[in-house]
Amino acid sequence: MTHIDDIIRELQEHDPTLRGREDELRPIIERLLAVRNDITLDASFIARLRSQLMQAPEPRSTFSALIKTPHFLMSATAFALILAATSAMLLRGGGESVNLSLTPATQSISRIGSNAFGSLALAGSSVSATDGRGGGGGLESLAAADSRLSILPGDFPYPGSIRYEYVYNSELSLTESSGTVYNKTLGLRLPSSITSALQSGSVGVVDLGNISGLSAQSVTLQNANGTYVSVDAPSGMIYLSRTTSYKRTGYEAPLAQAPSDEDILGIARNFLDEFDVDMKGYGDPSIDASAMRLMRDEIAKVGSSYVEYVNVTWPLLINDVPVRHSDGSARGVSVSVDLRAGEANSASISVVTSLEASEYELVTDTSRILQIAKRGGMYGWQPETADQTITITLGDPTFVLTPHSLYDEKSGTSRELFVPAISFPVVDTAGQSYIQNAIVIPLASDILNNVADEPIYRIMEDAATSEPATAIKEETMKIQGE
Amino acid sequence: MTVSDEHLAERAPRDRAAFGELYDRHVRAVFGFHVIRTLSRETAEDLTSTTFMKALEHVGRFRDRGEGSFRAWLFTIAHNALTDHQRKIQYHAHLDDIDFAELVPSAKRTEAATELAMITNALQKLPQTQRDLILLRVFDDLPYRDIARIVGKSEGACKVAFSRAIHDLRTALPLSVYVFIAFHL
Repeated sequence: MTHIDDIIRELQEHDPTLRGREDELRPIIERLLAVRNDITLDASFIARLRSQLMQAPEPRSTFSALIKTPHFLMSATAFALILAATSAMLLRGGGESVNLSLTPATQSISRIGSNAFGSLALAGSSVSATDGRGGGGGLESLAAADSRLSILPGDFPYPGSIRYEYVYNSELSLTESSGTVYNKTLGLRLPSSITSALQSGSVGVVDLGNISGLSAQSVTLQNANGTYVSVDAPSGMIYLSRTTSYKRTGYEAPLAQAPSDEDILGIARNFLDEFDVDMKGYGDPSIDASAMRLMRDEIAKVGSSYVEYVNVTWPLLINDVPVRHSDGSARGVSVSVDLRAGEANSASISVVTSLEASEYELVTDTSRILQIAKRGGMYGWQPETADQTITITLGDPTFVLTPHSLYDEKSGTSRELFVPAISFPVVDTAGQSYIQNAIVIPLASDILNNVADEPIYRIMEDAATSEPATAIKEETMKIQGE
Repeated sequence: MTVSDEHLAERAPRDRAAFGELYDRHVRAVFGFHVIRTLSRETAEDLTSTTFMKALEHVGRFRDRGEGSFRAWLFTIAHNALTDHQRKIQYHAHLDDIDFAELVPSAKRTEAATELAMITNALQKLPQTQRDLILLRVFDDLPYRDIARIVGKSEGACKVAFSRAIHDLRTALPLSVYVFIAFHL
């Protein structure tokens, strides 16, 4: 019995008048589930809010009281003036285009002993959160493409219970039994002049000059024209956005023709040129294949497409090896191109300037790699029962590095590692609108030896959140102080 | 190996990256929570920001309170933020003013937007409490245990109230809309 059958059965138990109407109910359920999938979230908003959260000060119990005082308002003004003065050091040029010369990413790599970062499979580690992009890795990777984000609550059943079978039709050979794992030790460092400027006087009620060892960790700048720059040094993330000249009406006409790859690349490059972004240290660009595939399929089938944004990405290079997340998306520079406006309005840039390098054992058992690839990757999941099976064809793989977060229980801190991996590109989707661009599988033995042999089977009740029935107290669960 | 939300929430007060991971996992769901209730992308974005800022401020309490479901805790904050917003603006948009197409920019825009409008119109006819329950169960896909925490009632009371709401809708709706609202029983 399929998931939809279960839904129909429950509906009929609740309302007996629905019995005998299965043929009518089935397509309705499929269509209405798709409605929720269609509500999309703006990628630049996700990135901007994430940056604000990462930069927010440590919560203090008196913060709410402080923000309302006249002293705070005065100090906020003083701070704004200092920040404005500081920003003049970083910005040059003017007018509509802001020329922002950013420090080129020249990596420093220090070689240290083998297995220097400990086991890569410690509890609390996770593969490939899409840092700074707002997308989830792993189970949400199927919906993580920035160009067309869908709402997928954690327990949301995939519409129509589709099972994907991944096929790789060539031979695979892995000969390297060891490879280099990199540990990021520095993302970015902001100029010391920023700290000096802030420490040269008081910031509101705080005299920073009396505090030793301070260094600026993040800065946010914006101008009256709607240009916004956010730099978070520890994570090495830079966010750029600006208001476009195009005015959205709330209803955007569909596109009858997909723009050419050259046009899209040109728009993205122009945006980066306007900000003087130094692209040394990043690989070749690629346009989000899933968004383009969707657009072209829609135009072919119905004559028009509503796809609004397409991302162009340049992967970060570490020792000339590109970095990719588990869903194949690039970790590096990502520019969001607005297809209606014919402009780009935002970009996220991942910078890594210093790393340690250590040798680790790699898996050479190709059958193990192919077993994982054929189920959709490390966290590939399948519905318990499926109405439809779609075959996704994978192409010849390339070697990449994939981000891997390693949490240390003792120190309470996380390392960001980059682990050797193999990336199988998606080359054929059997005519379906499939979102993921590649299957990326880490090759480190520590990681693969902890991956289950079977895919994760999604069932109606999520076992991770359900608990045995317990008495629930009747109390109001309000957050105190709100 | 996936770390649980609760484990990340325990680390979050001293590990901002852990909070970032929680953000990545739940930002879409929180946005969906707000957009279906406000029917405004801009307002939903503002409320999503408010929700996560408050969550960041109070995540130390989540650990201290030993909550079973981080998601329920987060949706409680979202629910409170929405309530505060509605109290402040005291404005309820007329459904005719809502641009449903703006919320559903996809190839099936017209069909999806029409169905979304029908669903919203039907839900507007319900009392606030019934509407709340249906949205939490169907759109937000929360189990009754978590809904109970958010609205401050027992799990049993929520199930009964949901059934009553469905019964009230049954006679007033086209089959397609009724099925969508009722299917998660």
